[in-house]
Amino acid sequence: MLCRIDCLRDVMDMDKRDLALDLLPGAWRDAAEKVGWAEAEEIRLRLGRAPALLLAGSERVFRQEPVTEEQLQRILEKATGASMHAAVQGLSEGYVSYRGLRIGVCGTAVTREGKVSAFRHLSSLAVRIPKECRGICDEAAEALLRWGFRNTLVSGPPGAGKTTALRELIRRLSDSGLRLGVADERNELSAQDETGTCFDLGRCSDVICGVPKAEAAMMLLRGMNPQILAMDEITARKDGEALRRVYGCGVGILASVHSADPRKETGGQARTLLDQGLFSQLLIIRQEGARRRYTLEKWPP
Amino acid sequence: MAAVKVLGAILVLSGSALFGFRICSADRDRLNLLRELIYALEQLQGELELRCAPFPDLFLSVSNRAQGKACGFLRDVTEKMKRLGEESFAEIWSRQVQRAFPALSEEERDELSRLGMTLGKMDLEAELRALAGCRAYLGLRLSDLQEQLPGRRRLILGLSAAAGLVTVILMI
Repeated sequence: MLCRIDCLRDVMDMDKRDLALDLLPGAWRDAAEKVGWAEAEEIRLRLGRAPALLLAGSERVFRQEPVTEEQLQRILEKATGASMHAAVQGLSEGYVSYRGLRIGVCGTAVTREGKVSAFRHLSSLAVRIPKECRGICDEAAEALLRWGFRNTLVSGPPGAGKTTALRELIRRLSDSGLRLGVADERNELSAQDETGTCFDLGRCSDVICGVPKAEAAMMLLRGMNPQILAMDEITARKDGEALRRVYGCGVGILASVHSADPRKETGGQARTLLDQGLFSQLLIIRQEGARRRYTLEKWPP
Repeated sequence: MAAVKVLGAILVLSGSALFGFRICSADRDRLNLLRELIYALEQLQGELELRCAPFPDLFLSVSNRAQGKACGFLRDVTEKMKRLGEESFAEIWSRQVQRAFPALSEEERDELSRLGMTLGKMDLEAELRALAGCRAYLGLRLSDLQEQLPGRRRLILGLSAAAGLVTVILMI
């Protein structure tokens, strides 16, 4: 799906939080709302355990009855629209995308030709609730705009808010007039759904969803002539290779990677990307309780 | 008095003939329904293979091309899928099969219901196989029915006419 995001509509109308709540069985919703639903970052459901919300980094149980496998199956069935075949690509990487929500899946997988084709039994689901936080990394965004864009790698541990920060940087850069191509494989950055609602990625962003990042990057390069290419969570080697090709074409790169601090790593994807000289800036996100600290640093130091 | 008897005989004969025609018409309806279902499943299989889209999309798209009751069935299933989470897809599908296709035989309805237990739970290849299997089964039932229909029609019409005549003779 290749589309021009022209988010003139009020993005606040879109409530992914309600969408996530709607996935839960009716009786659970009231219980979830009573324990701080408005601040929840994730819904954690584990077979035989009480369902919980992730609030400020720690889990809070919202209902005492343990989760059954049938309940997990029904939630997943709703999320996939009873269409596992359409979710297999994401499922093979451990998640299902539901109208901009990412649902992590665990259980006993069925594999065919080395790839996950279904889950025989489900044991856990984690529903991540995306949110738009304008102004969260204002200083970093200002610095990127003030001195001219330089390739930037956003890094942080899982759950630190890399996607949220990346989304905000994309919006700021795009609204400044730079053309951004966004390779949004998991549909987390734009969170588009069939009604066309999505997060605001700025006026000059072109987003491609549901296509593996490496392929999406090449499609954007060929078709959309971006000045900067944005990619979330570089994990696979082929994503790194795609970034090298993008770099070779003289297009700027804005990407995120799982790493608490790539400067201190001796191997791993984040450090490899830095050592290859693809990035000249690092935006490190540190989680301090419920707060996040954003530090923009030059690379090499 | 004779005129009344003639009128009564005509009424009895017409009634029995009508009864015979109704049974034949139910067979014809079943035949048409099987054709519609096979066509709809064929379209569904093709769309699934081509677009690999989620079922609500596929059902809606195919329902625009399907005919008769198969079209209404797919639309109803799509509508009822809004209740996913509260009900499983298999339950929704099976209930709609029972509701929409009373003209099918019990085995045919069971086969269609079984398809609902398979759809949505597997990868593309397995779902295509399940659709092809159901289509092949309905195809066999269709060809059986097509073969039997002329003989069955003659038998039913003959029997109903004979029953009418016997009744008339007994009454006179």
